[in-house]
Amino acid sequence: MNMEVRNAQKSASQFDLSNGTPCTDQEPLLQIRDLRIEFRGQDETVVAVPGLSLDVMRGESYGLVGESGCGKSTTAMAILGYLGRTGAVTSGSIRFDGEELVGASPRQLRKVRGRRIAMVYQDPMSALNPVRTIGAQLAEVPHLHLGAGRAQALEMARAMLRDVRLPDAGDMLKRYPHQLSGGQQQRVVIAMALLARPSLLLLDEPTTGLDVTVEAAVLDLIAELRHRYQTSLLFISHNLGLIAESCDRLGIMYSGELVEEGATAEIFRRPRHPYTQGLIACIPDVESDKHSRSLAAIPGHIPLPHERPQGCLFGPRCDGFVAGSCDRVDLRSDEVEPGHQVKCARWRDFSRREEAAVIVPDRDRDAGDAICLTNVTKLYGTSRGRSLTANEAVSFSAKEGEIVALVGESGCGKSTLARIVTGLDQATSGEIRLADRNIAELQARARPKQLLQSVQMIFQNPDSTLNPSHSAAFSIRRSLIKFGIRKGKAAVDRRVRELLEMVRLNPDLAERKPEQLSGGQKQRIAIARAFAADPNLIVADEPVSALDVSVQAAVVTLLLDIQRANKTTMLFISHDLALVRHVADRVVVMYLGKVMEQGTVAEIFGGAAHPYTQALLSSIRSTDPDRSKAAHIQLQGEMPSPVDVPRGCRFATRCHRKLGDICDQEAPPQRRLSSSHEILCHIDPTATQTVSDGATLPLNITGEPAND
Amino acid sequence: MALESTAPLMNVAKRPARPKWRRIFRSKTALVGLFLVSFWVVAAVLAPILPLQSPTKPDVMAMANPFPSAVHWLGVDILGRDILARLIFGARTVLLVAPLSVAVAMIVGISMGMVAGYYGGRVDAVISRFSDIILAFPVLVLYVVLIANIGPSVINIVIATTIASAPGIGRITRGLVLGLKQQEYVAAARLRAESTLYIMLVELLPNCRGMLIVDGCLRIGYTIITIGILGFLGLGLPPPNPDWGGMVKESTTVLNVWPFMSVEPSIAIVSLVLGFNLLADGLREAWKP
Amino acid sequence: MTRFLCNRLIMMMVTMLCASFLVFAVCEFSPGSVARKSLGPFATQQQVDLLFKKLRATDPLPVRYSRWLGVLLGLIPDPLQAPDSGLNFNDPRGAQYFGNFGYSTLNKLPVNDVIWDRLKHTAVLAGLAFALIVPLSIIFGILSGLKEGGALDRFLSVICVTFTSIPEFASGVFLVTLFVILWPLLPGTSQLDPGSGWSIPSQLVLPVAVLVIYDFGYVARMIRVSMIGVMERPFIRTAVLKGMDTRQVIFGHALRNAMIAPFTVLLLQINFLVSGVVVTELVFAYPGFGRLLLDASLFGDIATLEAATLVTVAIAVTTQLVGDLGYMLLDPRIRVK
Repeated sequence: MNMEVRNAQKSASQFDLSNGTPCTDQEPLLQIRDLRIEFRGQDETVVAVPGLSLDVMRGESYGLVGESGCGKSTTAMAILGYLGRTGAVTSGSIRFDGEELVGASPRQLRKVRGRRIAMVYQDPMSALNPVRTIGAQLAEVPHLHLGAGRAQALEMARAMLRDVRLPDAGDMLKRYPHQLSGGQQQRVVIAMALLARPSLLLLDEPTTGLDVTVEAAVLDLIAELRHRYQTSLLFISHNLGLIAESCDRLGIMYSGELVEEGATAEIFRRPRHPYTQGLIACIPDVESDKHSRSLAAIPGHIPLPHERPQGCLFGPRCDGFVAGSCDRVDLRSDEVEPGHQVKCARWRDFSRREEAAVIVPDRDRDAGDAICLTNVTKLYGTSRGRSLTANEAVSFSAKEGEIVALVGESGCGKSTLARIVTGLDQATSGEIRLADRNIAELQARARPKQLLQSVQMIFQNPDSTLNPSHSAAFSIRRSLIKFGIRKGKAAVDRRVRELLEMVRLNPDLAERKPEQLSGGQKQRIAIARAFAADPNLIVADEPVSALDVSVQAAVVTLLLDIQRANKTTMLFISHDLALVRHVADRVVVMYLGKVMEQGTVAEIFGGAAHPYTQALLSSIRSTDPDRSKAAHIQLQGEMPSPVDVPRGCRFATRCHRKLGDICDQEAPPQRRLSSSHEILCHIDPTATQTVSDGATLPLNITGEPAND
Repeated sequence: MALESTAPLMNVAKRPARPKWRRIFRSKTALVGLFLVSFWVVAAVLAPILPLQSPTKPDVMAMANPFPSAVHWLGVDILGRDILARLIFGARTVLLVAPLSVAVAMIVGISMGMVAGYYGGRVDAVISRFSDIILAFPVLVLYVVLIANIGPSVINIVIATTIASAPGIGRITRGLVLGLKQQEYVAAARLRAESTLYIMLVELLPNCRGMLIVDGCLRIGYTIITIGILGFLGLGLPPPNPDWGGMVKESTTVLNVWPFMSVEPSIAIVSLVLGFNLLADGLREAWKP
Repeated sequence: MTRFLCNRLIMMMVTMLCASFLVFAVCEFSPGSVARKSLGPFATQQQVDLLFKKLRATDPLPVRYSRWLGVLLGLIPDPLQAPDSGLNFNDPRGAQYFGNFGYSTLNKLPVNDVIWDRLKHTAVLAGLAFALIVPLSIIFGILSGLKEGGALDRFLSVICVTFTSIPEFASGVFLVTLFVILWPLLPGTSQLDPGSGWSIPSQLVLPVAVLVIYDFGYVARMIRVSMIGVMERPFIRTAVLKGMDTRQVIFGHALRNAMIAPFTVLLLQINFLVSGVVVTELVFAYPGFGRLLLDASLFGDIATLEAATLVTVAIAVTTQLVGDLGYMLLDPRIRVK
């Protein structure tokens, strides 16, 4: 970045002072003004945050939203004075409770850290010291800040563990972090943060990586404790849905800048900045499916710090960009109404975006089954003759050209099933019919080439899907050659270009190394690779879960387009129910290796009959502020270990609608609700309400009847 | 001093990477190492055309006063042979034998580790147990027993190095492969009917490259020390070849009169070993992910 | 836990058996026969052949190996000690007892009379060196790992890498030149002879220094790498953001984690010190175990060689076991349930 631009941004951000403060007579608890954070590398300086101003009031919950790399976590670290050896706040101020934190001495910082400002981290497992007991790690806090003795500190830790609703607090103190589940670990981290009764709690993506039902419980806990301890929150997340329910005010960050700020409900109802509008539009919400609304993706990508444009940082990705007004160096925030700022030169010209065109259903109702699974079981032998049940008697089928989604929390066996279908693993028993063959126990090595070609896979992790030693197009090319799709170097190269164009990538990227590509680009290459073999069936294992929301929408839309054009059958594996609603034709809900419920999208999302599905659905956070206050179904306890599964119903240990002993003792019967809708439950849904009263679901059946 | 770590914030400064091999020029450590190694490599290659005294012919006149002089820059040894020439010609043997033995050991070790890591299960158990036994054997004993019994020669040093080092290399490779084989690109390769050999050589091996090159550098340094020790124990290469360890050994008897005769070859060994060690350190630093 | 220990003990036995067999097998390749090596180059071929036969070296390898094993376990008497063998081998402990390592052809003494004194000498040397290497490498490793790339790290790293690049014979030459010849403070040989005019402690200074110089840098580098890794882990950030100061973070959270990986490396140094001291012992004429091993292998003294190898392998497998147990103590994640 040249000096001129940098100065320009600096001067631009100075204007924020004039209207950055909301009109309240109360002194803010945290006041950030013109914060500029730089990282000095060996031969370059990266400006992570060019100029940020925000306030967090006492008792308020402030949400900072943005995609990865926008500088939101860096800002949180700057508040605590922890920017590493290369990072520094080069200008601006952070005032906390009247005290300046920029340039504070290490001694001053130690008095603030953990005592008055505490933090909850993204990955609780790695945030806890693996070799020390929970008790020892918790007791440090009162010992350090409140001068408590050992016994007293432990007693406080025990009381706090009870507050975060961990069972058997006394025993918990003696345990090590690895003996706890992810949800329990996060509760411990929250307990640790609250032990010294801080007045500000920084939450850095506190539920990312947790299962949806666990996430819901953790969020409820935070909301409750916040009121009990009168703690202000600075909630950092990439997930707008989470923020919508948890925060009073929102700041939308883009490439180190706050582009819009205001009350949560106001922002969701009337987003002014085109980026905010784009973000909201690209989140799949559970009230609409692919036939009623398609996800609108934001074109382009977030600029890296050294490629920030002049003026509006969102300019290059914005439809409404007008040269001369959007690229002015003195662009500044504008007040839409008191307390609602937007940094856009043309906000008055934008109304909410038009929704993108919807996909017209053109399903062939007479299509035959492309793949049919019957009683597929997978057991892994563990030590001492015990076995781990990954899948048990899983049966479902997918029609040609149909997308079947496998949904469930981690450990439900959906990924194992994907590996069995593709041949990366083999089933212990059962049958998988594909093109008149049983492939259940055929590993990839044993499968004929033609069979391998017809089943391809799209993987989850963009960082490991491409070999870092080879060029991006390497594996596409190998696939074309191995399966003999094209003969001769010229023909292969031409096809590689076509495939890259099909996934909307510049064919010039073909020779780049994966480390030079973004996550979204890598995932597009992976899609191109899967389709290069001309498969009949694609297994997509969480293909977009590692991507930013705006990129996620683009990749999903692309995947749906290609799937429709090629009439490919797809098994779509995901933990994200809202996304599934947007993608799938049929849904299979799994829990602990068994299918709990299956049916068409309309049946599952419109009239879920299994208590587990209902709990999953109720844990989805809606972005619509008017609908978001519905109570959540709280599941008790943790998912049992797949080594000793419950004798009766798998879900009985956590079920909120448990009938009684029968659920614990007897395996539930399979109940057919329609030709396509099945549940595995003791409760007869025809006898009770489909949805329990406690959790009024936003029912919005799109009117499409069940198949047949 | 404030405790700080850069790890959580690195993503902010992520830039398109420059080619890996060129990054070593940014590490001073690697440059010093590269300089030391290339000094000896160049000297060894050019030995026949350099204006050196004979490394084997004694200069009887110089024996009366063996100290460094205008004719013999580093002096002469107890038999009156020019030390500088012997050092440079000695470098030829060391720089041939050490990398050669390490290369052979790497090929054997990488194959063992690759097979053990990729197949796992019983194959892995057998290879790992076998490696454990060799590794429980103290390394130097292994060398001495082998060389003392099969006699010193280039081939035997290569064999001894291979037996002593291959299990260690295998263990490193196995560890890397265990992590890499879980990667999704390996699954993708299996789904396009690639053979196991292809997966090992094309999908896995290139990603082990960095660690193995660093380890190889360290092992070359260590093998140079071992060759020196063998020379010092009298198990070095047979006489006409000048041998650095042997040179130290020969002159320890006159250490209290002419210490330079032992000190000079010692410094030569230290500088070459240091060169390889610094190179390894520098590479590790430069290639750090 | 008992199961784990039993498994490990069985594995240790198997390893020792394999290693001892390996020694026999390698000695098979010996170009000069055992007898020739023991009698020296001037003995007649007849003498050599006679001794060869008396030693029963003509038997096939498995026969000789099982005989050796039988003698060791005290199952059979040592045939070489029989008066009619004409070898005049005579062990005061008798010909048949558990732990009979046989007769050293090189020293003309029962192996048990030779080996244990030498091992004691080496243990003194190795123990002193180890007692210095452990604290020195931990201090160096932790200090330089604290701030990767800082001035202190660069300084300490250069020291460590330079020291590890100095073979023992080279540092022996340097130290003797400095402290014996140029500035006569210490003795140049360490024969542990009280009559040499130098006290025993002063005789130990240089050999211990040589060992420490060569070895501590390597261990310190391992600890440094581990410490760097630990300092980048998020739980260190948690500790700092709890409000702890540097000392509390290092001693409370970093140190134990940083010692997990290098712990086994540290213990492996015991193996190195027991057998790898050959060179040091040779430089300083120290009557230790390493030289015994060297001589035995040079002269084909298979009984001594077997005994010495068995001892070193036993030490190696024991330290491996201790290492694994210590590992479990340090890291609760791998404790056996």
